[in-house]
Amino acid sequence: MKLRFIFLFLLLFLSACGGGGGGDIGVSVSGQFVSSYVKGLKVCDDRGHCTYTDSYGRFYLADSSLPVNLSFFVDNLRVGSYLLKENGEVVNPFKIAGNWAAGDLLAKFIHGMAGDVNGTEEFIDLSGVTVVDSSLPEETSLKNALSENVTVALELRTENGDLFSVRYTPGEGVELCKGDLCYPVNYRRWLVLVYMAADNNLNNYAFKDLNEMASVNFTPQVKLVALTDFNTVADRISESDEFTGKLVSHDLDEVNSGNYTTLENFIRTYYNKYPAEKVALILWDHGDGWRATRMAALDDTSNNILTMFQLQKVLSDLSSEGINIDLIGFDECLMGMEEVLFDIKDFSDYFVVSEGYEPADGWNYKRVLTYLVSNPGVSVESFGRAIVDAYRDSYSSLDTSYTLTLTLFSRADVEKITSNLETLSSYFLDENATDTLIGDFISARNSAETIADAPGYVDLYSFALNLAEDYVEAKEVVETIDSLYKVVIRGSNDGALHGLSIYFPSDSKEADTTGFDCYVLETPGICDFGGIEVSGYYNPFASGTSWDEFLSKYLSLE
Amino acid sequence: MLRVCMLLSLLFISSCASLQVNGEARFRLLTAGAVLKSCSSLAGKVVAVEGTYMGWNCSKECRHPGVTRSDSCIVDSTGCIYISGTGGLDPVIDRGKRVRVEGIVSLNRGVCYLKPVRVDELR
Repeated sequence: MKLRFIFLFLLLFLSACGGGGGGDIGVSVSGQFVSSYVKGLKVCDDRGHCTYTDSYGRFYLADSSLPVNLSFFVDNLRVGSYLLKENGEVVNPFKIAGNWAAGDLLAKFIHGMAGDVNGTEEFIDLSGVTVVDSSLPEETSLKNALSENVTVALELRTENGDLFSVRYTPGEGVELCKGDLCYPVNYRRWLVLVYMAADNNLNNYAFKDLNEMASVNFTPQVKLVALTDFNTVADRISESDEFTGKLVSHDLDEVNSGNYTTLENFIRTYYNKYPAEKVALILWDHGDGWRATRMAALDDTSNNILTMFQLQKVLSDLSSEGINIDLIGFDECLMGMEEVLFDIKDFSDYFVVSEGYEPADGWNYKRVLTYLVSNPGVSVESFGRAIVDAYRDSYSSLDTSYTLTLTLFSRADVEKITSNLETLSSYFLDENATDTLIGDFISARNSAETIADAPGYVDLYSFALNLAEDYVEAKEVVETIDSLYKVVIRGSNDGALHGLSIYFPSDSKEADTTGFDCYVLETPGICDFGGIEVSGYYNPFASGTSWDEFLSKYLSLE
Repeated sequence: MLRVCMLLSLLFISSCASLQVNGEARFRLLTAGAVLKSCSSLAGKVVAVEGTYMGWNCSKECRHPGVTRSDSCIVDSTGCIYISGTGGLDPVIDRGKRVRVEGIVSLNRGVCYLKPVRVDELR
């Protein structure tokens, strides 16, 4: 009796342990299919054991062991295969395809079959989809057909009986057609381009920020591409990899990041290579506002500088090619300036800028990008807010002598502020302007907050606030800046800043030493920036507004 | 021995001349190298350093204190030292100018720098 009991116990123990490794009976494998979360995808191993993905794309297969070759199906259509090497591994269209181009098409097909033409749904359901007809030869998977770049057409039916088709024609992309209407299918949600002009004394901080980016586990829905111009090592291009989720870098020949064509080619190349629903461009370097003589690029090797009119030209040229950017951020000092925002307002919907100085560490890329990877469906505005939040989290406890600000602007905000500023300028420029009015403006300027160490840079809010009681336009400027999403961390030796500055020298002496002669150039001319001659220079803000005339009159009153 | 000490004291005093500013305070006029060498003992004190303003064109050996992205540097014959921010100078336009920086000797992440109090161009 005792012997029988021991035997039964051993049998139970062995069966509960899956046979003790002697075979794969009872062993299960698990994984997750992510192209956003995909429900209803059939997953089968080579022995014909099948299951379906759940609402999070997760699947479990009993009686299988690792590594296991898995095939994925939509209804009876074979999408492709993947060798699962560890439990919990994330499989995506790119891993199945084995190359980026086919992976991108495969992702579009999967989203198209679920009716998600924008590729924006967090969750898609394929469980009710039936493949009615297919142009694929028998035994050919969707992945193989797309890898061979041939035309593919699938006739499908939804759970409700609605017929539709998803097609790929080489050169034309993937389309979802219902009746006579066809819609292009997109997939990637975000492309984040970071232009790191670090061929200067910020070299080490570029390394640090790249390391922050490299600590993020990317998904295919968020593509990061960073161009870094170093001054100690070879320049490099870094891209998030769809297969591993890691940042992969390749050395480049010396890049002149101070040359605007470098920026233009960078944006054009990767915008076209990695089409995405939303695109963010982050410019990384020294910054200094309206001149932007150091903006986006002071390249020590080439001794080149990238000015605002050149940045405007880059964005304008790209826009005319249909290349549009949803958010432009400056991880740079002093770019939170009315002039800067005016110059670029027509080429993006949102802007993230710092009115004051930035700590050398700049933005916290780990937080910013982790947020985006975790929330790829967020709006552009929400992403902008997340950048501001990450800045607040990073620096709110910093004991700083400079006031730190980071502010999110929409194009509408910039237009509203500019419009009000124009009206205020017109009052001042009116030849019948009263002494009282002139006195109001002088007084407002004299008591406005300024940015420490940045002569001529005045906090626009504080200037407008001094006029707000008597001029409705000034009140609206105050209200608009008040309503912005921002962080302000007051520095011990700096002014009370509110997120936006404007160039407003206190007198002609300050104007002379801060480049006023270049500021007023409305048409292309020659400007000398400390021995660096920039031909074709002009100030788009001076050209597009009457603020330069306002300043000229103001300075002439001394 | 006493003579040697006196001589050393004399040498020290002459290399650390004081500077009258606004007829009120006296700051020690030091070289960049001297500030860097004695940073710990000078920390918190105001000193003056005369040199060439290099803006952001600082040698790789010149250590960036990381206070702001706009930190800039000055060099003299003994070395190179950063100031936090720009001290009101333009890192591009004013590059190459002879300046005197009065600043509080400070440390950030182990890097010595000057927190500028006043910056004057030397003509």
